[in-house]
Amino acid sequence: MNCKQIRQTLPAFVDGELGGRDMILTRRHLEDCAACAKEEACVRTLKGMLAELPTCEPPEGFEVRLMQAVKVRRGQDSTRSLIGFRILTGLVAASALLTFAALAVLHRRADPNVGGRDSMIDFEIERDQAYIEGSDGMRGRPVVVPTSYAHP
Amino acid sequence: MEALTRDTVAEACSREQFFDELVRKSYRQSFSLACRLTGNVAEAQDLVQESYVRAYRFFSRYDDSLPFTSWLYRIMANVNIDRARRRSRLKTMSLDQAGADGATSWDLPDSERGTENAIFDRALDGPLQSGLMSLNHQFRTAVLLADVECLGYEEIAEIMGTSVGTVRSRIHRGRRHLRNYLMRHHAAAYGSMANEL
Repeated sequence: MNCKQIRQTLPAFVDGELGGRDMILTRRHLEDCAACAKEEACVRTLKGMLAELPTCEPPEGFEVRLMQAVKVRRGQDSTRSLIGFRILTGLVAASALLTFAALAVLHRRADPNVGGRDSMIDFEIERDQAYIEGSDGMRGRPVVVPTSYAHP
Repeated sequence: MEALTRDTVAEACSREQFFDELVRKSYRQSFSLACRLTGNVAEAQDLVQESYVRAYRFFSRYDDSLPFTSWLYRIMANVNIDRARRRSRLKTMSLDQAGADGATSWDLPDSERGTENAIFDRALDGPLQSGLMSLNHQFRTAVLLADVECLGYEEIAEIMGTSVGTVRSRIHRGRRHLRNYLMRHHAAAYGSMANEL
């Protein structure tokens, strides 16, 4: 490896991120090349100075303000969830009502007996008249007389 | 420094309690990084606050087998870039423009009220911090994560959402810019770093 290549691998070497053959070649080069060794020392010095920068302590009361900000956000989320839950509940109730109404209408159309007492009587009278006039399609065959026929 | 994972917060029961505990254990370290990233205590406070609020919002996506700080730093780096973009969109006006028509006036902050922040800002004085502030966001973040937070390239790449190769390049170029800055502006103190520049 020449000096130009070493300068490219030097940061990773100093950071301990270089492995295998590159690491061995870089180390060997640094032992032989004074200029690159000085460059390595400079990088290490800068890295050391940055590592020794003092920690910045947060001002008094910052933790409280931070936790408060998180709490406010949490409150907003809860309110949104509650509103969402209410909207969802409303939608479920509305769809259940609509389904019930639709089923009731369909059931009414499918069942001829559903229509009240008048329509039932009309149906029985019509059937009886057909029997008397002999135009009953069931004539000559056993006819099951409805129980309502026997009553006045 | 101990990595914050779910195992280290054994007493936490619910997800919310777990989050609160992570905030309490990590906010000092995050604040220090934010100070170095922004170079300003007031901005650092806003950056940390916004980052934690965003972290809470997306906490369901956090994999608690990994260090919380890495995940938070990723958010913080993004928030910092967003804030810088927002700032660059803001229009700046001269104070002389106000009051020219007699109808406008500026409500200027009282400089005395910023005393507390000024005390903390002094901790951010110094050639190194000035040099860091002369770097662009990407270089500054990479250098700080590598040299102040002592993170590995892979972790930095994860935080910055880029490849290890790019991280290596950013750290290399960031340090070189920093050295150039120190040489140019503080030659007396950092003259010994003149090698090969």
